[in-house]
This record gives sequence, structure tokens and C-alpha cells, in this order.
Amino acid sequence: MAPESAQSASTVLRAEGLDAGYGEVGVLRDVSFDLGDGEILSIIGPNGAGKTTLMRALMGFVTPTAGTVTVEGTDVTDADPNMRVRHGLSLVSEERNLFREMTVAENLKLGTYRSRDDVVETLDRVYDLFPRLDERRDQLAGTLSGGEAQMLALGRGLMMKPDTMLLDEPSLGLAPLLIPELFEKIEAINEDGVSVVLVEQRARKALEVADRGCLLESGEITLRDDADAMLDDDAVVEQYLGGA
Amino acid sequence: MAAIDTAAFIVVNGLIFGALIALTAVGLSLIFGVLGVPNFAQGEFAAVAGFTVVGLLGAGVSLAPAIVVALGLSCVLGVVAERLTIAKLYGRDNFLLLSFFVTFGLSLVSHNVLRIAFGGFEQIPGPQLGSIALFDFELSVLRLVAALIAVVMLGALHLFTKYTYVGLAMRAVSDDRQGAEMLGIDYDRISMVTFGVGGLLTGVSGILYGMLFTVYPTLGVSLTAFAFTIVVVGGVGSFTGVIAASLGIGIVETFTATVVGSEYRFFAIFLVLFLVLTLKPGGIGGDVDVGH
Repeated sequence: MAPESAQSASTVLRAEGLDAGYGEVGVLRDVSFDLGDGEILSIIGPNGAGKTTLMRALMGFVTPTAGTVTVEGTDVTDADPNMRVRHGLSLVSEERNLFREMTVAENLKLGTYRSRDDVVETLDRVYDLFPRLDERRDQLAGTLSGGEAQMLALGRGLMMKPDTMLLDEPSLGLAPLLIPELFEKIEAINEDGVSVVLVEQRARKALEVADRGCLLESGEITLRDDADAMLDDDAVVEQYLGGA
Repeated sequence: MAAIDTAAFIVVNGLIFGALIALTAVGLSLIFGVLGVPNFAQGEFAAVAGFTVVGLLGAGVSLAPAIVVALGLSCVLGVVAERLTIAKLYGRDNFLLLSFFVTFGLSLVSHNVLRIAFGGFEQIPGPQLGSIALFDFELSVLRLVAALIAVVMLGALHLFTKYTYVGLAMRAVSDDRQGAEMLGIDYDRISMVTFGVGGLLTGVSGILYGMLFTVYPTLGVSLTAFAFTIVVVGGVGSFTGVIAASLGIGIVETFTATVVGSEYRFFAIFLVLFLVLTLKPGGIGGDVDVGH
């Protein structure tokens, strides 16, 4: 499927015909999508559909066997994660990958490893968005609660001043009480000008904050539409949004 | 010598010896903690640095530039060893075993080259700084200065890993390698820096050791054995544990050499290792998680 050319003028991230997997096992087949500047694109789908593999392929931790990844017009298909960070990509992974033996402040500081200008202002912005991190700044990351750890993962990603954030299942393992707050934070990050690819099992929530959505099933995108339209789509509602 | 004087002698000299070997042990601990390499050639940086100073002094170079060259060499050798051998093994199965064999091989090459080039025991004539009376014995000021240099180096390393980007990145790689790569931290670069810093610290240890005692071709092997014992006793990955263990082992070593007889030194040290592993398998500063 060809990406919509109408978006191409302001496309910040484009995947075209991606095939990827681990060893012999193919997980993704011919996955294509565009992310427009300032957009939230939610990729929903069942467990095991290949959502995490897609994120890892976008960040360069999995090498695709076919297809290309383009960031702001630059082909980064063969670039390592390091290089993609320089092109403005930031991944907040499902496992969060925090530095558990280091303090909250040290974790955040390392987010600026690649762009070391205005560290103090960026840090202030992150502490503004996540006041809990400010309270816990000298605490070891390994001692944070699930919600705080997710805030730290998002905050560390923001410290990189990314153009595009890839958020892999940010609501995973969070207490239900914290989930509305998490999605508010994601919207706030987006309103600050960061484009977002959001991969979520909580499909309804993910589509509510998104501009557009994709449905990923068994490694293929089977449906794509405006997020509002997907929320109204009877088939999607029945299968993935827990009925009407 | 009265008992109190003997005790003071043992403690002071033990702490000085401990501070010196701490530099080798911390180098080993750093490389193992960050990269997972059990560097059996760690002590070779000390032997090579020590003999480089001996060789340059023999060629008529004066002490200060000889030390600078030797330290530069131990740092560069760390990076070269990493690039030429360890870097080829990243991502391989059995990385731990392979890197152990590789560094074991490097150690064999190193101490045999030193034996051929320099032969036997050599002392580095340090600067004459006089001595001070302490209890009933004379303590050379050079020994105190050597211990002070070791303490300053360890303090500098601590600040380096706490406040600089590269130092923080080393800890980050040790903590969660993929998390580090997600932030754009270049693993290869951190790996080189880690070996360079590890080589430098141990090189300092070798030169100071050569001034206070002697350097000999298998010095590296002895220091490596000390360092492994210290890292296990202190707890893998624990900076303070490794320093405490270095000082403790230094005192045990000096006590045994002074009171029992120097041929029992290694027996005493391995006895400590045995006791610690029996009573607290994770080491004195270690986590409960022994499996790294």
C-alpha cells in the first residue's frame, strides 16, 4: 500500500513496506505508514501483532529484511539507534530501560547526552510536567513505583528534545487510576510540538488522544483511518474496544 | 618493637599497600562492571607501566617525563587491547568465557615479553622525600605520597562517574545497555574509554608499586590475582566495597608478612576470600543477587 502523498510535505517519519522479524520468524509484513508533523498516530492491535517489533525496527534495534524507514526525508533504514537519536527520534520502550542504580536526576541528565544545550531549561520543563520526578530527583530509579518509573521514562525521552517520540505501551503495568493522567501527559507532550507514534493495547484511550489510527493484526496493517472514524467503526469497536 | 608499634606498623603499611592495589582492583571492577569482561590481563597494565619507567630511566630520560609516557602508554594499551581483541567478541555467545581466554592470552604475551626485554626484579628510584618518625618506626614520606596519589585518583574516578557525561554513560551502559543505546550513547566509544581509564588507573598503581617495592615480569599476574580476590570480597560492582576490601586485604597481607612470614601471604588472602564467600557470597558491599 502506498503512503498517502498528501501528507508528504510535512511527514516526519515514514515506514514503507517494512518486513522484519527475529531470525527465521517474520513478524512484520509490508508495514507502511506516515506520521505527519505534530500528529499523534496510534497503532492498536492485539497482543503479539508485532507492535513492539515495529517500534524496535523504527528505532534500529531490529534490522528490517525489506522496506525503508525515513526520518524527516533522510533514509535511516541502515542507521543504528545512535544515529536515529541524532535525527530526532526517541523511543520510550515497553520495558522502560531505566538506569535502576542511578538517581532520577542522573537518568534525566543522560537524556541530554546527545544535545547538551539548554539542559537546565529542558530539565525545568520536564519537572514542570512531572512534579513527582522533581520530588524524587535524588532517589534511585530502581526504587520508583510503576507510575513514577513510566513518568521518568517519558521525562528522560523528553530530555532528548526529540521531534518524534515512539511510545511503546506506556500504560503497561500502571494502576488504572493513573492511566487518565498518563494520556493527559502524552497530549501535553504533543501540544509542545512533539509528534508521537503511540502503540497501545488500551485501544479506546489511544484513539481518543490520536489524530489517526492504524490497526495492526498478525504483522500487517489491516485498517487505517482518522482516529475518530475508527472509534465509530463498528468492526473495530466490537473487536478491540470491548463492544459499544 | 612493642606490640602497639608493631600494630601501628602493620596498619599504616597495610593501608598504603591496600590503597595501591585498590587502583588495580578498581580498574578491574570498572571493566567487569561496565563491559562484563573478566580482564585477566588487568595487572599487566601495572607491570608494563612500571617497566616502561625502568626502561626510560635506563635510557637517560628523567623521572617525570618517564612517568607521563608510561601512563600514556598504559591508557593507550587499554584502548588498543579492547579494539584488537575484546571488540571482536561483543555479541558472541560465551562472551564471558571468550573474553577470559583472550585476556589470559594477553597476560601470557605481556609477562613473557617483559621477561625477555627486562629480565628480573627492578626498582624505580622514586624522589627522595625523607622520612618521618611514627611510633617506633620510620615511615618514608614517599610511601605516604604514594598512598595520597592513590586516594586522589580514586576520588577523581568517583567524581568522573558522577558528574561527567562520559562517566555517567559508563554507569548507564553497566546498568542497562539497551537503555543507554536508546539515548544515543555509543557503546563502542564507552567501551574504549572504559579500557583506557582502567589501564591508566592500573598503570599508576604499577609505577607507585615499583617505587615502594619492585617490579618484576610476573607482577601483573600477582596483582591480577590480588585484584580478583578484592573484587569478589568487596562485591562485584560496588565501588566502596572494592575500596574497603583493598584496604582490608592490604592489612591482612602486611600482617601475615610481618608476623607469620611472607610465604603465607597468599594463603592468608585466599583464607579471607574463602571466609567471605562462605559467610556473605555477594561480597561485603555486594547485592544479594550474586548472578550479576
